[in-house]
Amino acid sequence: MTLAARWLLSLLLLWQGAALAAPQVTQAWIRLLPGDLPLAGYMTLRNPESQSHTLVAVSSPQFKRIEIHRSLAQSGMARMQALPRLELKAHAQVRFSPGGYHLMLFGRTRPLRRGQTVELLLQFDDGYQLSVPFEVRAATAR
Amino acid sequence: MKRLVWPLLLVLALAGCGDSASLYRLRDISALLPPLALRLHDGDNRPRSGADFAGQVVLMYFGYTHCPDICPTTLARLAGVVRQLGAAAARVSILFVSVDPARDTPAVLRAYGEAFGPRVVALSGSQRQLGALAKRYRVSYGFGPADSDGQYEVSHSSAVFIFDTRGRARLLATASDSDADLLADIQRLLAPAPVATR
Amino acid sequence: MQPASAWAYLLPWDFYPTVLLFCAGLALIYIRGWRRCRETGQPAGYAALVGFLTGLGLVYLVMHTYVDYLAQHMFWIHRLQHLVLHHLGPFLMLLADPWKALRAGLPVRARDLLLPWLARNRPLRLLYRLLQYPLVAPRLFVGLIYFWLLPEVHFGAMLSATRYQLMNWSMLLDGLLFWWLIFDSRPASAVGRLGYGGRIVIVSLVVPPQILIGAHMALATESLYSVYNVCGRAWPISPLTDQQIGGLVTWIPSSMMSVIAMLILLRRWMHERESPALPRGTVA
Repeated sequence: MTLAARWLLSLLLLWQGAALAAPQVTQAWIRLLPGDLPLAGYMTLRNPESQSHTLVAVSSPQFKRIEIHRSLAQSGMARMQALPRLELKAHAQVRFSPGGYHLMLFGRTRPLRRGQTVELLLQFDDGYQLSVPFEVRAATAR
Repeated sequence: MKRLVWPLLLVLALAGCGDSASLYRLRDISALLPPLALRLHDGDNRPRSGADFAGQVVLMYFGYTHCPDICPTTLARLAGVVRQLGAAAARVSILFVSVDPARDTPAVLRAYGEAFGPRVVALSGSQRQLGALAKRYRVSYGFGPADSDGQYEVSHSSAVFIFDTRGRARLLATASDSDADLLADIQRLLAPAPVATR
Repeated sequence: MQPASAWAYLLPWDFYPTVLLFCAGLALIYIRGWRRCRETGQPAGYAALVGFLTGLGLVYLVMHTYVDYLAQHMFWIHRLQHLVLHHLGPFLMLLADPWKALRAGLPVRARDLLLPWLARNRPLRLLYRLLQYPLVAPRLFVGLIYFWLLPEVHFGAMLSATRYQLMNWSMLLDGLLFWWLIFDSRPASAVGRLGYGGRIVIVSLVVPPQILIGAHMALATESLYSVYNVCGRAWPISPLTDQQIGGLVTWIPSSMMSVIAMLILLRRWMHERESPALPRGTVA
C-alpha cells in the first residue's frame, strides 16, 4: 500500500467515524389516520457525541408542514405544546413516543398507505442533516 | 391533639357509610356518576342514544379527530385491550365522542372510527348536546385560538368512563392505568353476575 | 366550555331550585322586614342592609352562576367558593344582625306558624343546642373543612352532583351556625348566649387547624386531588400551582376572618361593659 493510499484510508475511516458519532434515529414510524387529518411521527433520537445538537426543523416533500410537539396531560386536559427547537444534550437520548414528544405532520401532498416508508429530513442548528425513513403504520399501532 | 378527635370521629363515621373495598383495579366510580345517557349522531349521521348500547360494556372517551397524538394513542390502546377479549369483544363498545363538531363531520367521524376497528363508534353532536353530555359526566373541554390555516387545538379531559352492561357508570381509567388492569376489569364487568348459592 | 354571551356568565351553570329559593326568599323577606322596621321607628340601618345583601349575594354568586362551573374544574376556585360559603358570606350576613328584620319581613301567617313550631320542635332544638355547644361548634367548623378535603371524599364530592350539593350546603349551613354563635347580638341575659370571652376563644381556636391544612396544601410537592387531573381544569394551569393557590386561599383569608371577628368582638365587649343597660341590637 502506498503512502497516499494509507492516507486516504485513514481519512475515510475518520469521516466514517464522524458520521457514526452524529445524532442517530431508530424506531421511526408514523401513525396513519384517514383523510387529511394531521399525523404524529415517533422516533428515538440519540446523540452519542460529547457535544449537544439542537433539532431546529423537520421537512419532507410528503407533507406541507412539520412541527415538533409535546403532549401535556398535566392539568388534567390533554393538550399540545409546539416547540420551536429541541436540544439533544451530549450522550443523551430523546424518545418521541405516544403521549409525549411527537412530530406533527400537516397536509399530505400525496395519499399515504399503511406499510410504505416516508423520508423525513431532520435539520440541526450546526448544519448537520439526517434523512430518516419513517414506516407508516396502522391507526391501531402501539 | 384533643381538637383533632372530633373531626376524626366525624370522618370515620362518614367514611364508614361510604364504599366498601372495590373488587376492581381501576378507580371505582359506582354511584358517583349518572347512568349512560347521550343524544349524539354517528358517522352515518344517524341519531344515537345511550339505549343503543344496552347489554354492552361501554368505554367512553372525549376527544377530537385533529388530535394526532393523545386521542389516537388512547383509542389504539382501548381497541388493543378489547381485541384481547376475543369473542367477548363483541359485547364492548368504545365510544369516541368528538367535542369538535365544526371539523368532525359525519364523514370524518366514520372514516376515523373505522380506522380503529369494529368496536370503535365515533360520535358527535351539536355544541348544546355535547355541553350537556360533558356536564353530565363532569368533564371540561375548550378551544384554542385558530392559526393562519384555521386550525386550532382542543383541550379535553383525558379520562375513560366505563359503563357496565346495564348502563351504570362503574369505573374510570386514565393513561396511568395498565393494560392488564383495564383488561381484567372489563372481563369482570362482562362476567355474568354471580348466582347466589346456598 | 364558555357561555355564549356575557350575560350567560350570570346564569346558573347547574340550576338548583333550592339555591334560588333560599337566596331569593331570604333577600325578599329581609328587604321587606328592613323597610317595615324603618316604618315602625326601629331602623336596622343601611350598613346592615348592605352587609346582609352583600353576604347573601356572594353566596348566590358562587353557587348559582358560572363560578359554580369554575369551582368544579379548578381547585383554587373551589377553595374560594368555600371561603365565601363557610366564611365571608355568613360572616357578613350575621354581622348585620338580621333577625329583627327577618322576623318582621316574614308574612304574618308564616311567622305565626313557623316560630311556635320551631320553639316546640324538641329534636330540632336539641340538634341546634348540640351543634352550637361551645365544645362542638369549632370542631364541626374545622372538621367539615378537613372532611371535604380528604382526597377520597373530595374525589367523590367533585364527581357526584349529589355529593357536591351536600358539600356546599353543609359548608353554608355550618357557616351560618358558626358565625351566628360568634356574632350573637342578644342581651347578655339571653338563654344560651355565649360570653364574649368564650367566643373569642372559639374564633381563635379555629385558626391553627386552618393554617395547618392550608399550609399543607400550599407547600405539598405533589398533587393531592386527582379529580381535576381526570375531569380537566377550567383553563391550562399546572396542578401544583392550582393547589398552591388553593392552599393560600384556605390559609390566609380564612385566618384573617377570625382576626377581624376578634376585633369586632372586643369592641362589642367593651361597649357592653360601658353601658350594660343598653345591650346592642336587642331582639324584641
